[in-house]
Amino acid sequence: MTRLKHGATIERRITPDEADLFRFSAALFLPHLIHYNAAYAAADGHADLLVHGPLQGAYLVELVERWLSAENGHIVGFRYRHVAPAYVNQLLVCQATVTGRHPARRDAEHFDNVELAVEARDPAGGRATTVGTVTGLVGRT
Amino acid sequence: MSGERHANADRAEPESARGDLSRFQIGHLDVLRYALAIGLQRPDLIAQYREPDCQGANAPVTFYVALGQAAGRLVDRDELAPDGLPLAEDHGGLRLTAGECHVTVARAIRVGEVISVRRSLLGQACKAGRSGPFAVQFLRRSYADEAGNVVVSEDYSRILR
Repeated sequence: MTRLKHGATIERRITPDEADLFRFSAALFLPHLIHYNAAYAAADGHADLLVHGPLQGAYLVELVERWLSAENGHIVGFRYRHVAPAYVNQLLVCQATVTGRHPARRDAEHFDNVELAVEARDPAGGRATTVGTVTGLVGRT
Repeated sequence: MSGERHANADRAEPESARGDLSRFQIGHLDVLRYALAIGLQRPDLIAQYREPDCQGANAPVTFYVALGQAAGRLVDRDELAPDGLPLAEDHGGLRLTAGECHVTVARAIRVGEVISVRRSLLGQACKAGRSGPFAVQFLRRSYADEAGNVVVSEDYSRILR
């Protein structure tokens, strides 16, 4: 896996389908119809079933967590917001880019803080659906 | 995941700064279901969650979502509105959309522990937009272990228009 240095990028391409949306709703005990009832979603003004915002967040955050864990690190915080709807059966390109790495305030001898920009993007629509940042702590090598 | 609600939990969304409280015992199947639902790309962890004796294993970082979304929503079928959400969350016909979320992680939630989710309303503001007035609510969900230590804190906003 690519080392966490300034400018390094990691990507996951995923196309959530109906089964993915159902499984996420079920795991959360979330019965909101816009995620599994196409007729209701259309009547509510949506082009199709909506991909859950927290599912997009999970794609992005867990992508980064996996990257950090490869350097004995972990996430300490993140923020994101949804800027456009993401729909079922639509390719999402989830990307994380290292924007900064510097010695940690605590125990700078052994750890670095890492900052990353994250984005879920709908290439077909040519737009981002979720954008944010993640902060992690990784071991110094 | 077994959950229960406590005092001051008469609405699905918080009304006061004190907020309401739900408690969850985290089972390995809860974590496994969540990990599979998000397509977690960690076969080692998935295999770990399949084992009933994985007490103490770290859940995925975003597992708090499963608790936060369920908190206050474990209601009977006849308590659901036509959109599928609890009637108690009706906002008078206003459309609700998610704003920004800001999460601080002190440590991972672990299989086998009890996590208390406290939700509170931090404030709200009315604004004028290009398509008309709207309201922004600022809320917090804190996830604490049995010792009372907050392991995850989630500040988020939502827009009503």
